[in-house]
Amino acid sequence: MSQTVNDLMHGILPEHLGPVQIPALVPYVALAGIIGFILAIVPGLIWIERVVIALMQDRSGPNRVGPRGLLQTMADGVKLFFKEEIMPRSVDVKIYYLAPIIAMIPALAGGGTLPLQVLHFRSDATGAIFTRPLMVGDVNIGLLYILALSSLQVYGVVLAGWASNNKYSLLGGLRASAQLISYELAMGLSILCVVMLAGSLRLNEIVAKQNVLPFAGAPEILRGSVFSWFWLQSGIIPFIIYTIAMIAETNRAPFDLPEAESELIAGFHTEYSSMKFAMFFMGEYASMLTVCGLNAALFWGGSLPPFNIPVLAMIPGVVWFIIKVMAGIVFYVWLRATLPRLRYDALMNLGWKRLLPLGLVWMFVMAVWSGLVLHPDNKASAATSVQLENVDLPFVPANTYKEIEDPKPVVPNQKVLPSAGGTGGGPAGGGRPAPQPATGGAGASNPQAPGRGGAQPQANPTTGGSPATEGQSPSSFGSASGASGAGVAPMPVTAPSGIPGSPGGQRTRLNQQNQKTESTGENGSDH
Amino acid sequence: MPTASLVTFFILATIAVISAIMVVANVNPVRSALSLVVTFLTVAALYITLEAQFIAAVQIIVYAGAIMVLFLFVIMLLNLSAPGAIKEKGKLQPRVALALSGVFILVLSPLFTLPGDPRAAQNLGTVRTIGLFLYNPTLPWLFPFEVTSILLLVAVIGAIVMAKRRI
Repeated sequence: MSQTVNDLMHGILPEHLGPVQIPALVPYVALAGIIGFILAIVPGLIWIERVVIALMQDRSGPNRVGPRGLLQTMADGVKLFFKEEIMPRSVDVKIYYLAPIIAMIPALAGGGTLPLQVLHFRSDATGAIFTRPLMVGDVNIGLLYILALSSLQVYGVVLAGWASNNKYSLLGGLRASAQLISYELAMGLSILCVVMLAGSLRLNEIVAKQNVLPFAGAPEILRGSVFSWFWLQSGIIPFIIYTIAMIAETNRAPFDLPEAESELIAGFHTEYSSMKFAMFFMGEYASMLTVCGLNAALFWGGSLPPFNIPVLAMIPGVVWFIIKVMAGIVFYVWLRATLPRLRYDALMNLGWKRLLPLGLVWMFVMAVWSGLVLHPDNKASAATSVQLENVDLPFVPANTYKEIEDPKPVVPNQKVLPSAGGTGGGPAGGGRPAPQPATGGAGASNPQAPGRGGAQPQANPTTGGSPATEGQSPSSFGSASGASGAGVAPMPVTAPSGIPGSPGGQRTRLNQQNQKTESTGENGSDH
Repeated sequence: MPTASLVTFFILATIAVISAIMVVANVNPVRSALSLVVTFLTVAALYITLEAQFIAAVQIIVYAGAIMVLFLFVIMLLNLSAPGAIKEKGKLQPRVALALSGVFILVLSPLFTLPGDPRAAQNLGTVRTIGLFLYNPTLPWLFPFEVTSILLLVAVIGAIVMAKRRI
């Protein structure tokens, strides 16, 4: 029991609580936590926005309902709930009602792969400590999932603008779609820089990759600190591009052209009232939370404390994560209070002529940097070949696979086959014409070649060391290709053998065999 | 064959087919485009059940998230909401379409008689595996991939050349 208490002091949870296995519950806890948090915090965000803007504009801000106006948003919510539902004439009814829902659902679902924290558990069986990320789904495309949902979110705005049957709404919807397409590219490029540094699309691994020393020989207090997070490691520029693009993607000031109140009344939600309007509002704030969470995870170390000090490390990671997300929200509000709205052509110029080229150039720089400096040995290693061997392709008939294959890896088998089959009489073993008739002809015209090869070990140890193994490998390859004609496992025949050494290794082996066949050919002619 | 995955498949396939029919059956172009988005989403879900997560994500990001938004943009820009204009087509078109779809099913029929149990490829759909296959110089897919990217570049340049009066 004292062990458990001691563990809890260090943030380590027991594996079982009575009959309940806690690690299995983690995704559900995260799911309930994220949806509950987003839905519960939106009134708080609106309050933060009002208070911060009032502070920046030197006003009082909300101060009537509740202490410091805290309940003002509640009052607004109640008011919206009881407002009259107004539907203009000749709207497209189904889409008109669907649009607020589409605006809200992807925003809520987008938080599904945000890494909130790393949980430590003590295994009951072994007493060892293992970790589980506190997130809903630890999928290998976590980053792409968030991007996909954030790109779906524009449908709510566009459809609202179209279905309202209102010129201003339609203009707002058009602007939203153009804006999203323009800024998604720059956003993707900036994210790619981080992905190249981290080498993963799992957000919890991206966070884990930031938990390192910022440079070799740095003091331990800087491990996983502000300086080792990717905003600095990726050279600040991707972070700037991402921040601009995320504000544009969520249609917030200074990029709030879809709802520009000075030109378009209220833009896409001009015709929406009551709870439908509230749902647009909720969706906007939920998507702000999601992109800020992505910002925190990608560039600001996710759940890592700013310095590796025990006092800071004792605070749970999820608290740090929320602090970072909230900092992003305050940054949003700060921009809204500071910057005027962009003109439409300035918006397009910024997206296509500034951010996109800058992102492309920087991605190239990061590729060179991460390829040459950070991971110089990151070639196709043994691990990757193992992974390719594990790949199991259904429905690929083996012979078609072999035909479209690069002929190079086949050459050694074919070349040795006639010579090995020479004892059995002629080049019948392959059952397929040898790609290089010169060597095949040498093997066929000279049946004593294997005999020479067997006699060679005394004469030439470099080539003679292998005939025994060579004599086995063609037979195994022959059986493999014969079996592959029946339709099993095309992959292991060539691809794994091609990959581990990378092309270089393959080629050297080829060269050796070429030399060998040449030498045997010479010997044969000699003979 | 596990029944749970069968049930999932048939639910998703039904939605996909119905929404695909809606794409051509709707007279309203915006609703057609929306039905196509639903088709893309269900196909992405089918990819996930086949353990091809990367392709599912790309399907949503590229098709549903970018291309269809562009379609909607164009439809709204041209304001193609007049349904009467589309009904002027002759009565020949549905019959030809029906006949051609029969031919299409015949062409596809060898696919239904593939040997073995239908199953998902193991470990194929991850980003890492796809990258290792696609960019491996010893496998034959690197060259078509690069040629495709050049083709897209040519298309982009061609569009700019045609759109700009003076370059």
